[in-house]
Amino acid sequence: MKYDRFFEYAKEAGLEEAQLYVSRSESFEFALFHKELDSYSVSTSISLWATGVKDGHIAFSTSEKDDEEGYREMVDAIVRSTSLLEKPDEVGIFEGSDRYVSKKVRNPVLARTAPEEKIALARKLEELLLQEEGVADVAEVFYSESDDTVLFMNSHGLRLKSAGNSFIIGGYVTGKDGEKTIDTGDSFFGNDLSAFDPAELAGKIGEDLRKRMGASSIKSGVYPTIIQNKVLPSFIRAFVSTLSAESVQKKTSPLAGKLGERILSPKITIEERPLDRTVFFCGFDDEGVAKENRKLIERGTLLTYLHNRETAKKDGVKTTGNASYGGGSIGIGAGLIRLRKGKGTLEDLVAKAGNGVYITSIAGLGTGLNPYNGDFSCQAQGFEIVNGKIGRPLTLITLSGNLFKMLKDCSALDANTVLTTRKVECPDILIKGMSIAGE
Amino acid sequence: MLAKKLALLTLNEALATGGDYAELYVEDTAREAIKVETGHVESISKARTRGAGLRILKGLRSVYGYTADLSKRGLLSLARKLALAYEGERLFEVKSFTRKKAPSVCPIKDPVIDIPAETRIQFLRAMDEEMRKDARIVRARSEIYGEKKAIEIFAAEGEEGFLMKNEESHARVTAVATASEDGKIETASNSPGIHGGWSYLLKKIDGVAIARNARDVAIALLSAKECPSGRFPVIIANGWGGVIFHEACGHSLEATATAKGLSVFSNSIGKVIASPLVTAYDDGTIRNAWGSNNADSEGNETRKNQLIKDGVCTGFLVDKFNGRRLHMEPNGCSRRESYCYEPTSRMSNTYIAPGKDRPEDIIKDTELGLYVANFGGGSVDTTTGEFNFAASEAYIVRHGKIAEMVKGCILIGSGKEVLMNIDRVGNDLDLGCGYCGSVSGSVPVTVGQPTIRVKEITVGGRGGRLE
Repeated sequence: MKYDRFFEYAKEAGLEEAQLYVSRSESFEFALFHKELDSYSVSTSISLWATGVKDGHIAFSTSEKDDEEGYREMVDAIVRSTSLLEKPDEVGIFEGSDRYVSKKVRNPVLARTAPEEKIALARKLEELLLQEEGVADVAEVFYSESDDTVLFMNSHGLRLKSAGNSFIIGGYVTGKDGEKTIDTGDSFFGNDLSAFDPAELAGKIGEDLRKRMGASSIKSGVYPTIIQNKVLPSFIRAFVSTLSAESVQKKTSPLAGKLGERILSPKITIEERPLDRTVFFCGFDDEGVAKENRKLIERGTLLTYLHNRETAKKDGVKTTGNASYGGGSIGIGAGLIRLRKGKGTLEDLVAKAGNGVYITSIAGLGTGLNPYNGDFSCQAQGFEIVNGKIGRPLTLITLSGNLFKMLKDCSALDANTVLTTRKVECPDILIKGMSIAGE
Repeated sequence: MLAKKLALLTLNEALATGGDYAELYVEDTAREAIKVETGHVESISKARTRGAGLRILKGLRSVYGYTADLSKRGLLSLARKLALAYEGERLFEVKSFTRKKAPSVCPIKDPVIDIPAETRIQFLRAMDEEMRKDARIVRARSEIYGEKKAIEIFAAEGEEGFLMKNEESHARVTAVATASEDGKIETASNSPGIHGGWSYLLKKIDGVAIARNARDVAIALLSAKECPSGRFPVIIANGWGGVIFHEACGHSLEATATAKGLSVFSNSIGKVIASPLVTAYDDGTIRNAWGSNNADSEGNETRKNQLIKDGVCTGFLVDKFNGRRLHMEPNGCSRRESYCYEPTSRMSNTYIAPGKDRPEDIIKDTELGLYVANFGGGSVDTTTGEFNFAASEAYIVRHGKIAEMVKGCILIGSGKEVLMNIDRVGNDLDLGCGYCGSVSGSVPVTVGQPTIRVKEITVGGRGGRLE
């Protein structure tokens, strides 16, 4: 096997243990503008992540050179790094889990479907978007597909493999709202092209554009606020990152010492479900540990932090299989997250809100959220809620709060869930009161 | 890196179906980041990126692909796959490449990545010690990042193509301080960068000073009040404050946005788009600046492009492809993060030119408002021009003086409105470094401005009304 050479070099260079993670990806993308193929891209990429242990230190190196020269460079870099690192290695390379769950989630039909058919589907979407009332122009219709394979190998003889593919198709439109130009867009993702209905997506985009006409601001204040199921994933992801045992141990998560405590509303139950049959299925983490589905928050109570093997050892617990490469070392990451749904419809939730705000879009949370304490401010759009009904559209408002307080103040969730590309599935939720700034 | 013969074969294969322009971008990049965290060397990560991106244009169509396989088989296979996107007869065969030479805007004698790791660790230890001088700092992270990139661009739109070679070497120093007291956690960071070597870095970046600043801001934030909300005057400090112009205006002046008529500033050349106090440039030729380069990603020399003069829009940032739609020549601003991205028009070092006001007078003349000393970042919708910026260090201005610190502020608005509402421009131009993410990836950019005042901006925060 070609990667045996890597392990031979590692042994020759004096590495006591070694690991190689190889990720291959084939991608295909295009975009339409005014019925023409405006861009078209095909690519093949490969990334290698090498890990090695020497003299009590563990080091990492990455490369895109999938040849003997590349393997040697990575091994040499690891040897050099281990001689300079001061942090002792606590765990070494993993020998393997007893059992791994494997599911065939790659759809070979998607890979076999000719590019022309995918382009035809996008053209259909563009045509339907142009027919939508209020659409002045179709700014873009896009399609992006990737087909990924991961090989995991280590010097203990552990060999793992995973494969998956997915696509996303969507469009952006503009409309005239008096003197102003407004825009909106939406997309569909999955790995089954037959599940995509261009008419349904075009209809949703058109309806959203029409609803946004005449948007204005609102008087600054504190309002009962509904966060839409497509917007909430950004907040849920940010919350899950604070469950990182590494952050807790380094004193940069406010959740230190809160295990077993009720930290969120009793209406909130959050699970990590990497083994569910979705395009996000993942059977092992970046240390080769078998993944499991598990509850993280049950009825508001914190059940566990997310661990890799190093943080688990420090806390004297079993790893949760959340090791993830990043920033030149093994950190912590989470797979598919599910926020358990509530009951009823969005209309029921709006009725419960009475008078408030329904947030349907946010921007700037990436820089507007302090991951260390959960404080955030971001740009938002949505609708005013008046007497239990959705009212006029709102734009150029800000939404401010604290992530933990927001999830503590959740008073209801509906059963209207959606799975998003952020690997989060969640319903719409109602928060008792949030700061909105506008006029 | 790549044999001319193989580049010739690849371009000719790519042009077989009637493409009128083909370009092969070959890259070999070594990166290394060393991190010292709260007293010890935490990680040393080394990465190597090597591959090629191939673009074929045919009129107003573009196809792009990339591969890490630089063998003859890998490149020709990519060229064939891409050429299949077009139908037609070959227009020309590329016969040779003329060597194009770029001026040395960013001379580099001693790339940071080639400096012994022990020397860089010593630099970081001084920063680490400075941050941990206050016991409230619970986590201190100092990092030095360096990269060395060798680039070859082979391009042709006729029998005679060109080859341009370029070398880049960026370096960035980061200090992140996390302070904790009474259950509160706050963090602050500082990350200056250069496009230059180690000796230039030592001249330009005082590691201990940036560590001290990160420490002091993180500690000050522990007792900061929540930012008030509403609409009021906002003074934006010089340097990194220029991110407001970058987001609110710069992106909307890139041909990526203007060419299809989708930008709020499409068809704006010759029209008033800003207050008469505003003159602005994008200048990729500032010596060794973080956003500068000898040449752009299409092999053109970088330039100083005027975007606005006395409030009137005077130009866009134009790349080759979008220039075709605009009937404008490219002006040296086509950029990409790596071979994995198709190049397009992007900002480099973008700034508002200095005005006449002294910054202290701008503050003195403000009765009640907000002073933003630093931003975390922001984003813009180029179609509507609506933007957002999160402030990382801000203060209330009361009776002409900087008063208490506030946290959790976000500024939102429309770029058009903000540009028209700039009513004071200081004489203290400065630049700040960051990364800008857009369609062609994340690229190093410098933003800049003197101290400015905007008559009124919507400010979001949890502190109630400003009083």
